[in-house]
Amino acid sequence: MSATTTRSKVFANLYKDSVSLMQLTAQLREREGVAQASCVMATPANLAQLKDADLAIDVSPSPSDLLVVVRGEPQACDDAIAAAEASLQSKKAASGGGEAARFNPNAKAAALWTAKVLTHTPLPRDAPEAGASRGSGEPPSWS
Amino acid sequence: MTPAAALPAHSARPAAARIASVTGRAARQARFAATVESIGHLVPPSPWSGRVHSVFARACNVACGELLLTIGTRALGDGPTTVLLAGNPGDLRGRFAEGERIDAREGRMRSARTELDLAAARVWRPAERGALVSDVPLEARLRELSVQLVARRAPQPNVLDREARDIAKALADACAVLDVAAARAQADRLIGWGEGLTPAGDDFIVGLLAGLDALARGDAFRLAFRDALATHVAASTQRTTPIAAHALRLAAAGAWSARIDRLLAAVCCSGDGERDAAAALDELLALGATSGADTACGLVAALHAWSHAPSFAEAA
Repeated sequence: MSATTTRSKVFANLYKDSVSLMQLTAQLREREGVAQASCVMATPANLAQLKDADLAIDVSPSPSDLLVVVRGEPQACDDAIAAAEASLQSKKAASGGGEAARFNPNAKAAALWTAKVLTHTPLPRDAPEAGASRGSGEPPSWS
Repeated sequence: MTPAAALPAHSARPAAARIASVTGRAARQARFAATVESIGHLVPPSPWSGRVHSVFARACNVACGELLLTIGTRALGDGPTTVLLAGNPGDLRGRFAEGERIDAREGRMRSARTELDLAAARVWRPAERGALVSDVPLEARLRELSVQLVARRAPQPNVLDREARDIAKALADACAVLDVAAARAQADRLIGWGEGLTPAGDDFIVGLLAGLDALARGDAFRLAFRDALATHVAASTQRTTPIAAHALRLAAAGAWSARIDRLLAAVCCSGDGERDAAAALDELLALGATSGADTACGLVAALHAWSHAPSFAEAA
């Protein structure tokens, strides 16, 4: 193999199930001239794994971004990235994606409810004796 | 006489209002209508507004404040922030669009193309837990469950079967000896680790927190350990995907899906444990591509760690 390079592409707010990503990774690795490839969500833990695998990138994506990284011959990497993009975009309708997904509704009532649910609600405890309630306060109304 | 004056009284409205009324009615008529079968107990009471975060064939995630509500078909199963639709609503990608607004008020949830009727919905909340079984049957059920889980994971291994395996084991070991610092350190390594919507490491931690919650047995040291780990996990959720972060925050607060709850009850509580546990495991494994299996791994790890009643030595 001639000189190798690393290419990457970030897909903002794109979500795919793990099997789809593993399959895409496997397909990219099988391409001629590709030495290593990975398709993962760009979480810090996954970025650290990529670095360990000599797939470090020089951009700073967010955990809600999907990251494709390929190492190998320059032309093979470019082709692999293009193939990955085509595959992901063709299936984009099947998942979340796009800038709109970053929207924060800033709904006051919902925020207050969230605070109650996730911060102030005591953790339900296991009850060694049967019949203990695991409820979390007053039942809300949806009407 | 103007043309308007010649019209019946009920038609003597400004043209713009008439047009708006007609188009509004048309829009309402064009909306797909569905009935909600059940609502998770942590779905905010209306009124609220949210935005569609992501849409899949069987699930639509709606960002509502810091919560991520999930509108789904019955196959999704109940959960604390899940809105389950009755019948077959078809592919949800044709019902909702990413970024569009959803309003909940007056017993209905409305988007541009869809209207959901909440009037007949039941509220899902976790069933009351029965009494815990004693150590011997619990360990027997756990052994059987572990064997089944290993066999079921074999065809579709992921990072939990490879690079993250030792980390997950170290986290379970830290739970067994109530080592908060070690548990936090291992959890830090697992959060966000893995492919997909909910990385395997996060699913493992969700299951682990659920398992710890089930077997704390009211012991002050275990409760303090579980709270410390849960608080740390909840504070670290910015390091993973929004969907996984939501599940982690819920689990830290003691809330998880009906599938997890049923498996916990089948393994830990009185009843026909072996048969119920096998069925509940099947149900959990059917969740997502590998999420169910990863969650089950964390749950089993926690139950193994705390399967014995707490002892003074453990607490010390």
